[in-house]
This record gives sequence, C-alpha cells and structure tokens, in this order.
Amino acid sequence: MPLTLFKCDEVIPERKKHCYIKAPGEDSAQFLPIANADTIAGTLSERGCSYCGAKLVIGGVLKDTIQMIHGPVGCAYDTWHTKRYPSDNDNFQLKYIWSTDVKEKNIVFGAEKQLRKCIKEAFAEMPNVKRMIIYTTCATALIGDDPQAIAADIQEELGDVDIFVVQCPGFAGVSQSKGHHVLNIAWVNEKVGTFEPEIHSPYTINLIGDYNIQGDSYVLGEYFEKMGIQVIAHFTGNATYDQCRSMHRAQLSVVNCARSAGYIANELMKRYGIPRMDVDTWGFEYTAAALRKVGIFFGIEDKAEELIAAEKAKWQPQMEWYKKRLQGKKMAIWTGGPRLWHWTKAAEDDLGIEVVAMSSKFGHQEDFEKVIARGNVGAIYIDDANELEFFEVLEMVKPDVIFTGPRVGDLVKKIHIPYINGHAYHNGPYMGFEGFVNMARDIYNATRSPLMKLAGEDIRK
Amino acid sequence: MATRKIAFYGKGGIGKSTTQQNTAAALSYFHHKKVFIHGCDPKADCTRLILGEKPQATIMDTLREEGEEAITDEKVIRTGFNGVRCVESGGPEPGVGCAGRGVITAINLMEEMGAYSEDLDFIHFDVLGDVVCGGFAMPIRDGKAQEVYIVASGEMMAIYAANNISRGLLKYADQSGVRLGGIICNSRKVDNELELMEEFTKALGTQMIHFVPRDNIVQKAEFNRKTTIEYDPECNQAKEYGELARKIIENDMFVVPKPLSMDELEKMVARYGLMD
Repeated sequence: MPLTLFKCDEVIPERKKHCYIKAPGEDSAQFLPIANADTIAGTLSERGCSYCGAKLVIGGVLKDTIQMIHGPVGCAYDTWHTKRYPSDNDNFQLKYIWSTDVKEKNIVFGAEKQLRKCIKEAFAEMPNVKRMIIYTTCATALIGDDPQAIAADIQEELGDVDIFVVQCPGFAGVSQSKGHHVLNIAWVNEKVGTFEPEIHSPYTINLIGDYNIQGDSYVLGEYFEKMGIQVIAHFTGNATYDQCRSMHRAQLSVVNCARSAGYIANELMKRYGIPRMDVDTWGFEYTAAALRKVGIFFGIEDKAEELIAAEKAKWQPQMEWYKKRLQGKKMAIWTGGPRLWHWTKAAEDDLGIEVVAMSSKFGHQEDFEKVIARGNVGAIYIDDANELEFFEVLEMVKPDVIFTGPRVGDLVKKIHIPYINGHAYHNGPYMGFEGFVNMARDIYNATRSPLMKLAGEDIRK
Repeated sequence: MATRKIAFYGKGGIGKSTTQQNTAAALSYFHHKKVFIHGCDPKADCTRLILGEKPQATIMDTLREEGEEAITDEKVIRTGFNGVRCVESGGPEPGVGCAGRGVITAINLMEEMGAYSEDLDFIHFDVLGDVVCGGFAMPIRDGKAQEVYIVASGEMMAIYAANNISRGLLKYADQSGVRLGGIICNSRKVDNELELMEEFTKALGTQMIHFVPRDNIVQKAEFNRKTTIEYDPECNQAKEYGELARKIIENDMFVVPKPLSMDELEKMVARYGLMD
C-alpha cells in the first residue's frame, strides 16, 4: 500500500506524504515518507525545539558540567529532569540547572552583562565545578548576544575553567534534530583534541549515542570492561566533559544512536581517521551481534563470545519466560526516531511481539529507510505524527501496549491502553541482555495488569 | 475632537525630529492644540527642542534601573514649550540588545498607564529612520497611530527611504487601518527638488503636504535648544511650520500608498538627477 491519507487528515492532504503502511513486496525504494521537513500548518506537531535537542538530549547528560541556559527561565525548566539519565556522582546533572532568567529589560538593553554575572555566580557557588556549557535560546540569539566572547573572556579571567557554547536557538531547525547536529559539530570543532586521556588498555573505543537512560551506560560499560576494552568517552551517558574532549584518542567509534550522534562519529572518522561502527545495543541478539562486531574489530572474538555466553546463561531463561507469555502481543512505538528501527525487529525476534505502528518526531528519511527495511508488513510508519492520527492508528491496529512519551502516554491511558515511557523507560535500563529482560518485564506488567481494565469500569454503576 | 495619533518616519538625518517638534510647537502655539510627543528613537533626542534640555529619564532607563513599578507619569513625562508634553522611550546603546523591542515595551507601558489621555488633540510618535523591524512598526500597528507623515527631501536616499517606509505601511494598512497622510519635503535645496517630490508623491498616490524651505534660523534655534517657533515666532520659517500644522489639521487625504518597484524608483530619480 502506498503513502496513506488518514481520515483525520482530509483537510490537510499534505500529511499523506508523511504516512506509510507497508504492503507485501514493497520497500523504501518505492515508498519513503517525507521526514525532517517543516511541520505542516494545521497539524499539532509533537516536536520539540532545536535548542532542546542540544540541551536535553546530549549536553545536559554530562555529569560534571554547569548547564547555563541563556534565556527566559522556562527554557531551563522545560529541558531539565524530563529524561532520566543518572550518573555515578550522585546525579549532579539531574539535581541542578542554571538559567540567566532574562527579562524584558535584558532583551532591550542586551543580556550579555546578565550572562557574565550568572556565569561568575555559578562558578563561585560551586567552586569544585570547572566546566560549563552555555546555550543560547530564541530571545538571546535574536538580540545578537555574543556568549562566545564572554566565555573566552571568563576562561581567561578565571584560568581554571573550560566553557563550551552551543548557539542553537529553538527556531534554528525543523525539530530537535538540528540541535543534535549543531552540538555535535561544535563539540568536535572546539573541544575534541583539547584533553589527553590516560590510556590503560590496548583496545579503546568511543561509545557514541548512548545517554545512560536509567543506567544503560553502566550495563554497556561493564560489558566492554569485561572484554578488556577501555571506553574513552560515552557520548554522553555518565560522561565527564573532559572525557568527551578526549574522543580523538579512541581507535573505534561504536555508534548506537546514529540520529543524534552519527555526526560526531563521521567527523572523528574524517579528522582523526577513527572508523565508525554502527550497532544496536537494545535487544538480545542485537547486543550479542554488537559485542561480536567490536570483538572482531580488535581480534578478541573469544572474549566477546565468552561474555555473550555468560550473559545469555544468566538472562536467557528469564527472557524465554517472558517471551512465552508475550507471544502475539501488539506494540506501538511512538518516539523520537532511531528507537523505531532499534526496537522493531528486536521485539519481534526476541520477544515474539508484533510491532504494528511506529512514529517518529525528528527522524530523517535515513531512519525511515532503516525501519521500513526491518519492520513488519502491515505496520504503520508515520513522520511527525499528531494526536488525531494517533487515535486513528489505535482504531486501525489496536495495540496492547504503547511505547511513547508521558504526554501521549497520558492520552492513551484515558482510553485504557497501557503505555511505557519510550524515552526515559519505566524501570530500566533497557540496553544489553539484562536491559531487554527489564523491557520484557515492563511490557508483561503493562499488558497483564488488571489496572487498565478496572479503570475502564464505571464504578457508579 | 478625537485625539489624532500621528507617526513621523523618514531617513535618519533628514531633519525628522526637528520637523516633528516644530510641527508640534506650531500646532500648539499657532493653533492652540494640545500635543503629546512620544519619542521612539533609542537616542532619545525627539523632544529636546520642546524641553530645551537633553531630556528626562527615559521609559527604558527607568525600567532598567528601577523596575516597571517605578514608571509613573510624573517620572517619565515632562512638559515643555507652550504645554507640549513629552516622553522618550529610550533604548540600548548602539549594537546591543533590541531597540525595536524597547519601542514595543515603551508604548505598551504608556498605554497601560493611560498616558495618552483623551484631552489631547495630537499624539506624535517620532520613530527612528526606517521601519527596520517589527519593533519600529509598532507605532503603526493596531490602535496606535492612524496617520503617518514621512519627512523626505529631493535627495536620492531620502526618496528610497520614503518608498521603503511606504512598503512597511502597506503591510499594516489592512489590519490596522493606518494611512499615509503625506510627505513633508524638508528642503535640501537640491536641483529640481520640488518637481521630483511632486512626481514621487503622485506616483505613491499621496500628496506633498508641505514644502518646508531651507532656512538657517532652524539651525540657530536648535543651537539654543529651541524650536523655531519658540526662538522667533514672527520669523518666516515659523510661519512655514504654522502652515504645515494647519495643513495637517485640515488634511483629508489619507491613502494606502502604492510603493514603487526599485526599477521604477531608480528611473525616476535618475531622470531628475541627470537634468541640467
């Protein structure tokens, strides 16, 4: 079946180009939804802004860095704490956020003085913290503030601090995706190569596009440690600012989230000759394949096989237990982009679940090529979906569980379909062998719990 | 008579604020009108001839230093020559912040305070140079100025600017009802000035409401921080401003301008520029 116009979209026929239902024998060479394009007027997009892509997704994960949001106070709050990425230093990055809190008078007269004051206050309040990222937002970008100059000035004045500036106001692109790109490129331009790591293994990698959601990085970090591989930097899960400055010293870039961080892997390849290896770190078989690939790269396949065998022995029985009970359950994945293609086949192969509908907020066509190749016939693939489309999809495919964000999650709860937080997880980590068991358990709990059924009963009767 | 709200635009350096203040003084002195001037230039120099001094605390300065609550009539409004009342928006130093936003904020604050009182006959918005961004178009948006006078001369760049301002005006004409009341020619004594202005204003679909001749007494009065009307009400130039004021009072030609294309404009200007 070609691109499809939903009933709810009859008044905005342009949406047809963004919605696809896969038919037998078709592939993405014939039908590929438009993606990473302007939101169409008339549809209520779920997308976030470009600044959010830089701050919430990547920069804000760093565990030892002051996050200075140069803008009105809401820009700080709305990109703080909504994603759960812990750290092993007591969650510094989840506890704090900084805002220059600009007001009318700062806009009219320029907000540089305010920024300078806030930077100095922040460093003075936390004398042990020496690293900072400054983000411009819509208002401060429009008035032409120059945070780069201020950062350079303060670095010189204080001597022992390092500041990175991200100039990506909310309006810079069509979605969060632009913010990923801007941060990636600016980081490799300005910071990579400015710090030398201690090397203690003959095998070194960067683990790119892993944000330690509920401890993902801990799981993956342990695997590589067991294989004798040193992770120079996770970009950016549980990472320090200086670890990410050392990325030029790795022998290999292992990329999980290609959408948000493929850019930096490409640049590391071009500038430092570090090869890029794309992997999937969600799913049983995918994780095994990922470890195997990395093992082969370094000629330590035996260590990979040893680890895979040990992990499988530990987790396979639990996985099988869930798989038996999840057979035939129908799942929808309505997230940012890459999780569609990371999860669809893993859920099918490892758990026996049928993924019936997927939507992406900020994926590019490249992401749709991957997911249509991996996904089921009959499944619905949507770019930049809106709520009315979601409701229509529910009617069409009746999923048992939906992986999405809390906002859409609360909507589907109203019609008594369980949702699992697809961005920040319910009870993660979800990566690696144990992670996929956690994911299976959350799906099991969601679909077997009587809660939704009970919620559907009218207790007045 | 209901208050008439007028915005003055024109190329920087054309003598816009001088003309505006002399018009205000003439409206007040010769025609006994109550006039209020709201200066919208960040330099805050739209009222100095009326006040005889480099003015008052501006609205934005007060906002910055003392906060919004501190902004009161008494604090920011001054009365100058012949009872003309003045306020200045003020704004940032060149190159920082957003002067346009300052204009928006200042006008909103004045409206909230009810400073544009109903007993006024005329409110003048004196706006810097060109309609460079949304902020500087604020005075011609909904419920603000209903008529616009553009100060120009026969010089090429002044004509370009006037045409540009008309384009800004056209954009708002529908939604806010703002109309062009005419072009005030502030003569620079360039060749064929009168003829060029007449053709230009006709092409725009408007009128040259008055040709203000060049007279050194205007500069002399300015050195004394006075309008020509205050400096020497009997002189010829004062009467010219009186005449301009009368024409504005009696004006009934309010149009949506038809700005020229760059091509048309260049041809027109070249024709007059090349004449001997």
